[in-house]
Amino acid sequence: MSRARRRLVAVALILPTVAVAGMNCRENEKANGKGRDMSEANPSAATLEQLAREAGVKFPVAARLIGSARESGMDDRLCFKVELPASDLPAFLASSPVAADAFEPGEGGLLGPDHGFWDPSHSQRLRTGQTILPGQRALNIGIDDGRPDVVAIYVVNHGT
Amino acid sequence: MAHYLIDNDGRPLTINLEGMVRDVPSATARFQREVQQMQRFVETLPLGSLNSIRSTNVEAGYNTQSENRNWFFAIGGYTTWGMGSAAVSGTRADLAYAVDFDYKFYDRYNWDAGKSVTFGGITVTDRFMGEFHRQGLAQEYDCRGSFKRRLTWKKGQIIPGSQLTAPGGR
Repeated sequence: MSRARRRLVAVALILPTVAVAGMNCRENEKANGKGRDMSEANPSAATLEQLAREAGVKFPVAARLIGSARESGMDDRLCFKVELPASDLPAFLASSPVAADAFEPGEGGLLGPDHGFWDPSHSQRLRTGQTILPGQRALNIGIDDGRPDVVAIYVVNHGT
Repeated sequence: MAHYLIDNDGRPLTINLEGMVRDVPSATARFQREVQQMQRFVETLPLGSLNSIRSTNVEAGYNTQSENRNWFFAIGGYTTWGMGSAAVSGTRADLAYAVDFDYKFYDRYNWDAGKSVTFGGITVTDRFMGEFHRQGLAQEYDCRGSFKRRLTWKKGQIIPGSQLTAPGGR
């Protein structure tokens, strides 16, 4: 089969599939009154240890996983929220791949919109930083230390 | 996706970066952060100087699906940076800054193995899509974009939002 013919066959196969699926999405939107959200809450599938290893961060033993979610697409995205005692924050920062001077006040577009457990817009005192990891991946860390005893850590790891 | 499957020539694609920054809240915030970083740096430059400036690092952003479905499927994750020229004028007591700021975007449209996306219950894996590229039936390509802004302010002032949102081409 010639290259041009193979290309036509490929296009003929893939485009109707995507088009039909897209229409199906539209129908679901109509039925639900909102778009289908492909971000997937993932509260029990992975432990904090697994998520931290995947994202490339380390947490003190007292850290507690609040929730996690994934977004699948051409570029994947993992986000999870952790709480730890305020006294453990220096140890976390010391091991963080995001340099101390990379943190800036606010969210800076690095944490994305709120969704269930993911609530950076409700932070009392948030700062956020980023580092680029091998493989053209980004690691974003948000720190809300506005409460006296507990610090919330927001972690995002995504492809580009 | 049409550029990937139908054009199949691997040529770079220029995106409407202004549209993405306008339509995606996190992209808006990413741009504003880049401007703030630029402003902090420019305010350290000496009076009377004219300087070429450029971000020290690129930063990455991500268009989530809940923010905007089109930009999620078209781009997903991406990198941006800023560059331009900065002039410092006025007096020591009344410093004035003028920057011709160029906001830049880059992303590689590629389908790496190990990822997937679901359209209306049908899962399409990256391996499946990437196979078109490996078989020569489609070609991955570079996405680029940019827009310019003329930004002026005085020391201690916040750059007016109207300067950030003004049209500036693509």
